[in-house]
Amino acid sequence: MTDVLRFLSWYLIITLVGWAAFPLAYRTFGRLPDRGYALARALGWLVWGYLFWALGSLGFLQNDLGGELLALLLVAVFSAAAVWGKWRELWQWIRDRRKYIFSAEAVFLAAFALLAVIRAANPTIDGTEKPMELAFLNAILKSPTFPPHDPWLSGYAISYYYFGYVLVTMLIRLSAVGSGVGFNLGIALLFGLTAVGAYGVLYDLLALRRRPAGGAARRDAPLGLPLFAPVFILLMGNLEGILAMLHDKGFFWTQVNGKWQSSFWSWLGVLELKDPPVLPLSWMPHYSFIPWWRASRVLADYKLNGAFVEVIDEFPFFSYLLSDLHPHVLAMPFAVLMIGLGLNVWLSARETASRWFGAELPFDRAGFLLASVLLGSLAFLNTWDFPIYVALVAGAYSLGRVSEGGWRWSLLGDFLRLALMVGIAGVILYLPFYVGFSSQAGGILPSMIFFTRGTQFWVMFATLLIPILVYLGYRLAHAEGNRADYGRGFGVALGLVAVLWVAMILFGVLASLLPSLGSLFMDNLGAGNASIGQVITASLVGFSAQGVTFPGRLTAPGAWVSLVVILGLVLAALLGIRGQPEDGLDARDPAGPAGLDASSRPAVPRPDAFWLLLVLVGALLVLAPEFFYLRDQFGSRMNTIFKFYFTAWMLWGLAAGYGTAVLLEDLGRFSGLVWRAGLVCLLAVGLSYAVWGLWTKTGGFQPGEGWTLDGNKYLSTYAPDDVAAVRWLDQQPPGVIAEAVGDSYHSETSRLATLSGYSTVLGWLNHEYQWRGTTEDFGSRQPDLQTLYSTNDWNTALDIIQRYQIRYIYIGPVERAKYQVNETKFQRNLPAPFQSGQDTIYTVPQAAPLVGQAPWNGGGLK
Amino acid sequence: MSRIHINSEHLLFGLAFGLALLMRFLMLGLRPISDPEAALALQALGLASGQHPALTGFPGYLQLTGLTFFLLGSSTFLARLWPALAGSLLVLAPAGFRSRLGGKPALILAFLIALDPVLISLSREAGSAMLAVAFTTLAAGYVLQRKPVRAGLFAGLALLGGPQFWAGIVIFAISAGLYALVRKSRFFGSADSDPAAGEPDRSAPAREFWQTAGIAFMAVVLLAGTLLFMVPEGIAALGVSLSTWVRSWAAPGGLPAGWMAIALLGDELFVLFLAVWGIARGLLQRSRSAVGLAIWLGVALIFAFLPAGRQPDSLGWVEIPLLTLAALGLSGLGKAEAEDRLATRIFTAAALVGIGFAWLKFTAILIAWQESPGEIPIYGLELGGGLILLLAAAVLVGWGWSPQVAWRGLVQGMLVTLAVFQLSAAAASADWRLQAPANPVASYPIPRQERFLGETVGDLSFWKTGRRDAIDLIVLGSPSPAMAWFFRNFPNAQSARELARGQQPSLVITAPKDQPQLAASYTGQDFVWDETPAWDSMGAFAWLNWAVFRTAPVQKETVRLWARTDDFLGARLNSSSGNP
Repeated sequence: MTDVLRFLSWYLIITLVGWAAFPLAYRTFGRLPDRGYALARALGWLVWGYLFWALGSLGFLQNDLGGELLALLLVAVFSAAAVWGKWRELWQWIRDRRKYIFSAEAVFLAAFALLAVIRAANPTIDGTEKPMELAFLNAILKSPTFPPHDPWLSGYAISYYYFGYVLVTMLIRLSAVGSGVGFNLGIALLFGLTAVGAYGVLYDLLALRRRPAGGAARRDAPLGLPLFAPVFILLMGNLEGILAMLHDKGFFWTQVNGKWQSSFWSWLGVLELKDPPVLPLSWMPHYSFIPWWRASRVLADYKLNGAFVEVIDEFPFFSYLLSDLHPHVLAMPFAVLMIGLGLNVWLSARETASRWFGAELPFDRAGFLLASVLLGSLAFLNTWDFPIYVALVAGAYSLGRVSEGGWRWSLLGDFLRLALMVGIAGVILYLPFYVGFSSQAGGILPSMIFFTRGTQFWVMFATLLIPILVYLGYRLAHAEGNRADYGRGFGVALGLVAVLWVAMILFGVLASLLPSLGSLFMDNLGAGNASIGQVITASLVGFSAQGVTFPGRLTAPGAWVSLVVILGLVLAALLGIRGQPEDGLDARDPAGPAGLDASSRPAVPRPDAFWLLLVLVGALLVLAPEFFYLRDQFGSRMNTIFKFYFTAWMLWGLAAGYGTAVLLEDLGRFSGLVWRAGLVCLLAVGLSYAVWGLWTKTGGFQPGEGWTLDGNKYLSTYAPDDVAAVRWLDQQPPGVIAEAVGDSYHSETSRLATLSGYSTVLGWLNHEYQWRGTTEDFGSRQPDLQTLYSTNDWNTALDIIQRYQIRYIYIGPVERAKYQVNETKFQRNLPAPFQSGQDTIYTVPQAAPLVGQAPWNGGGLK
Repeated sequence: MSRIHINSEHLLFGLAFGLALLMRFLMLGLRPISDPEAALALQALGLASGQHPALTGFPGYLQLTGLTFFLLGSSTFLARLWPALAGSLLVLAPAGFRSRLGGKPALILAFLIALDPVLISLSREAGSAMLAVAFTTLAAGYVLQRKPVRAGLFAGLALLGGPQFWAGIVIFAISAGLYALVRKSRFFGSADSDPAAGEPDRSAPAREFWQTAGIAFMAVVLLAGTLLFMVPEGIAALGVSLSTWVRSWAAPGGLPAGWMAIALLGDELFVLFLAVWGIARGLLQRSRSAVGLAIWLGVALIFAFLPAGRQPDSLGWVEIPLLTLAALGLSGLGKAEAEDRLATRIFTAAALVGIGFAWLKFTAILIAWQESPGEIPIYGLELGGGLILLLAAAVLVGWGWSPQVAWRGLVQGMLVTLAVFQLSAAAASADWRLQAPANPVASYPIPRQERFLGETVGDLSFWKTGRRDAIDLIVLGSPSPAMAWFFRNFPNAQSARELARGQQPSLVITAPKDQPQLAASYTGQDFVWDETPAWDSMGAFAWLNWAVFRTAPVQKETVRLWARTDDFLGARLNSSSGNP
């Protein structure tokens, strides 16, 4: 099958899934103008995956093609049941929205194809964490049941949020493409689904906004303007893109005595950009081997001893450029799905669909179950997203009820009740996952020393915040009937920051005093012998170490002051919403079937309140790691920033798209012209990273291995013996592989397990530690493997073989380099049915009962 | 309390059912189990012994057979029990379609089903499509009779019946769609009723019907599909059945379409003839039933022949519309005028003699082809002369008595001949022939000398352990399912890809080409394990020979049994006598 056919097979499958699920979306997103059409593929894929995984975990389905097909059939049945008796209405809706449907389809296909082409230009599954992700895919494909076995720790199940990998393997299996191709098509598909989902949600927001109070709504919402959502979320980069170009072209640099100097670049404080440009000066960044990498590391934290602490600040385009099939990427289309769900909840918040335990809910029982399945999936996809989107949906619910009676304390109760109920149900529905999951998260720590500098904050978010703030300003200036409450807005914002600040200091003092945590905590800060009081002072006014002066929060307040301003403005606008419909109410149901009496339909608020909620949640996500972070193995806020900023980008990207589109629609002739000019500049700046990033990453779109979607193709050139070994293993019965203990980020280690999907005794050591939060599960595996390879004594080796039930013993270049391999004992006692170049595989003969070992899969005694 | 009044129709249906039982159950366990059958029977055996093997796509068969094995022990007969039972029950299905077909065609259909070679063959095969075909058909019949519990029950069992369930549903859905298009085209005019049948109840079942049927359906799927929740993976097997069917469209290794066509012609000439007649008559009369069935037959044939991985199972769905059309055709033959009846019978008998004579000469030619080719011209002349005589007699009767008598006698004589031919095929399908018949649709290997192998292994085991099944035995390589089934009662039988260094089992079974490095001194003996008809190598003559005698050349597959020399009786005696 050619790559084009492989691409088409994925397109057809996901389209089929989307069609099967659209009736379900039609009902679930009943208040949205597009009835969830753009989200149907993601919804179908998620529900399909959930049914497959859940029924598989309970033993009702096997992890095979049959299980997948049956689960898909169930999706179709549930979906059909959701619109039973309303087929004509559905068909009529489709006929009425033909243009929109074609537009959404075009957006999906274009986005999916775009990234597939990009991946085909640099398809290699090598470096960073790609081997880990490939190992998960292969292990899931090889596991007969759920939970899947851990490819890098034999005898154990995967201890990671692996749902995204299950979803991708479902398509790999159904389309019968290899995991090397599926990996890249998976990335492309996620891009396409996120694009079309964002397009659909922005279409909904714009369509809702175009419904004038009391009047007849214009039927056609704009089809071009919603493109700003995928552009801002997926294509825009941070300012590092343009800054790198300026840097390498020599802007703001002067030569003094033959040395390059720049106060601007020093002030900016972005690593590598502080260094002089590399000659010859060029618009194409080339300041390092991989210049596109720096955009994901514009933030920098420093310990009190001056040690640099890495902070990850990925944004979506970088993630797709890097193309690690990591959970934050895997969760993206589903995060957009949750935003759509939140919008629908916000629109239906004033209607009580059901009551559970005395609590009013905006869902009927089936809807509640589905919402719980959707939200609960986030914990399994990218655990960090779960509480965030539960809060967003519950917040949307409370916000939607504001228009009923204004702001009141009972809204907090509504928020908590819905969040708890959906949250608990979401956990229960995914219980089999939690049973086998041990997280590295070890609580929350105060971020005493680590904070974001204002310059770096704006380098990171300016491309999104500019349209957001421009629109916010425009909106505050033009609020009719809902005057902003600046006093309360800024009061709450400042109060929140103050509370966080005080809490951080109190927690810091407490942590330093705890005997079990204190020294570890202070070590993480690089505090040495300093007291907690000195740490607090340093965090406020700065400190000096290694001859460098580092600012404190008070001397470099740019980030938090910016956030206070954003929060203050947003809260001022939100708290200004009165107990009456905001901006006038449209008495027309945006999606209701024609023919209903207009007076019987619920009123629809205009979508700015929901937009404000998106901006608010994004701001809170950026604010939180200024004061607290999740404790993990890294001891820094690296992952907290990574995950929170990424989600904030999603929310702010959508908000920026909305603001941009509305301004384009609303502004008058002159101001509109100014805005258009500014927008062109903004897009040029924001998209510059995408342009040169792609060019450098793909080597000018001249792939070394030729155009291919197969991410493992490079191995045929660089490690042909390993490829042959894996092909041979694929024909053998499952069994534990012994190979050298893996080193994280070294793709040549644990390769057989990675590529075959069979378990090895111990793979990437550090990653296993991260996933499990402990090394207890490893036992003595590391020294045992060394002994296995190096001992002269067959009985010692046999003991290890039996202890770990090893079936295949692999000896390749890594093993020979890492251990003093004594091969004689294997040669004397074990057959070696595979040998190619430096690679040898010894097999441990294992007899199995004749009955009960699935001989029906064998080809007879031939 | 209502009493059931038994009438002649009931008795005749009972007779058909009895006939079906006879054809399906007699000597059911005699033929050695084939590889595909053994693969499924082994899974059922695993379930019966409390294991949780990975189930293939036949949950209904596996669960029911597993339960049977658990209660009664394992045997080849019991492995085929449920398909045989389902195939027998299928005979009763036409009763459910009386309102649509009419009483007489329904009864004829019951007998045709009972004696149909393809359906008999499927009924006597473990894990065939018979469960899906029979239970789906029965469920449809009960829907028409508005019996929701039974409809739901059989629908649930049908769903569990295997991959062919999905084929049946899709075939039916497409056929229904095409039929609706034909109806829309006003082909039937304005008449609502079907001239071939009475006035059926065409109203849609009430909501309550579907609710009750749905509950029964779910209950059966959940309870039978999971064997009372003891084997939840039975539901997983449902998915496997779906994927198996989907894969069959592209899976390589399916039966050649030509073989399937030859098998269908060879086994079903009688009903094909009648079905064509039924279609022609139905089209002329614009019969809804006949047109609907013709569409169904066409779609079923496409689904049977089109997939790359075509299997004989798919003929099951061809049989239902084919036999129904044949029943309609047969019932529509009508009777001769009263004054011509005796003459027609006499000429039918004469035609039968003529056709029988020609057939005998045809077989003589085939025999002579190999044994005495010189006699072929003589037999050829006799064959030609017989046929000319028959035609001349028909012309004379038509000219001297009545053309209707001549035509009817000739057709009836031909039909009786074909019926006898089909009955012969049915007997072959029922394993009533001494030598197991070869059939292109059953092209998998059939074990042949398993009894000799079993006796040898049993003897060696007895000498060494005092029991006939206790010897340690290793099958090297991938054992065929039939072999695994054969040794299922040997607790110490194992399989391995290779022997460990120093491993010295008492018996080793290998492929003849393998020369395992055995540590001790072993003695080997070859056995013909199975035979596969060599359809690929057959020419036109061989196919003609098959059509008449149902024999085909075979390819033999042997295995080699290695026994430790020191376990032989002579070696022990030598050893104990102290010879050097």
